[in-house]
Amino acid sequence: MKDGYEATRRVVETFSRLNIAHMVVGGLSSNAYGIPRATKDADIVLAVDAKALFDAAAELGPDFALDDQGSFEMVTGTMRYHLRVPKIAFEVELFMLSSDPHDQARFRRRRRVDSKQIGTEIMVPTAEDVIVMKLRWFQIAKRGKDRDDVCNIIAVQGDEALDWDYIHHWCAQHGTRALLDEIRASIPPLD
Amino acid sequence: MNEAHIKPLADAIYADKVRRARALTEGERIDTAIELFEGALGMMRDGLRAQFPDADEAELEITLRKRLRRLRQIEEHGLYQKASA
Repeated sequence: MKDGYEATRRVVETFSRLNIAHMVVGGLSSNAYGIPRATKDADIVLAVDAKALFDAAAELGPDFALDDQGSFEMVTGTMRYHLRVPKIAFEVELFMLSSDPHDQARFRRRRRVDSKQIGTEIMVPTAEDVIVMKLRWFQIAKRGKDRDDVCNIIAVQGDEALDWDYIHHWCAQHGTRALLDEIRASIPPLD
Repeated sequence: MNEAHIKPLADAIYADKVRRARALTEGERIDTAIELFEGALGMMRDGLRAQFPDADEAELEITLRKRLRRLRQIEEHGLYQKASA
C-alpha cells in the first residue's frame, strides 16, 4: 500500500465489484468543484446495512482494518465506521446512507468523475449537493473549512453554472439560507 | 500596510486561486487533494526529525500518527457520538 490514491482506488473498486452503490463525499468531493485543498481521508457513503458493510470490508484484505464500533454523525444521524489503513497515514471513513431526505437526494443525484491519480472513476455528489451539505455542517460545527468550501465552490463554478432553485429549496429546509446569502455576498469580484 | 491596502491584495490573490482552479478538470482537482496531504505529511515528518533528532524512523512515524489522531479528535469534537457496542 503506497498512498491515499491506492487506498481509495482499492476501496472504490471493491465496492463496485460487489455491486455496492456508493459515493465519495467530504474533502475529495469538495475538491472536485472548488479550490484544491489537502484532505487526510476519503469519506465514502454506502447504500448497505451494517452486515453488508462488514462483509465488504473483509473483501478488502489485510491492508485494511475496519473498526468494530461505529459512531453517529450528529448532523444527519449517519452511522460512520473508520476503515484504517495501517501502512499509511491516510484513512478511509465509511458512512451508511441515512434516511435523511437530503442524504437520499444527493445520493440519487450522484455523478461520475474520472480521477487519473486514483486510477478509476469515482461517484461524487453534485456541486449543489456539496454546497447544501457543507452549509449544514458549518451551521452545526462552525468549522472554517466547511465555510471556505462553500465559498470556493461558488467562486470556481460561477453563479450561472449552479442550480440555485435546488440549493435554495434545501437551504429553506435546513434553515441555512441566511448563511448562504452571507457567504455569497462575501465572495470578492473575480473578473 | 493597513486594511485598505490589504483587502485589494487579498482579493487579487483569491481571484488568482479561483482562475487556477478553473483551469483544472474535476478529476485533477480531486487528485490534488491527496497530493497536498502527502506533501503536508512530508513537512510534518521533517518537523518531527528536527524536534526529535535522536528518534528513528519508526518512532517518528508513531509520533506522526499520534499527532494526526489528535488533529482528527479536535476537528471532530462534538460531531460524533460513539454507538453502543
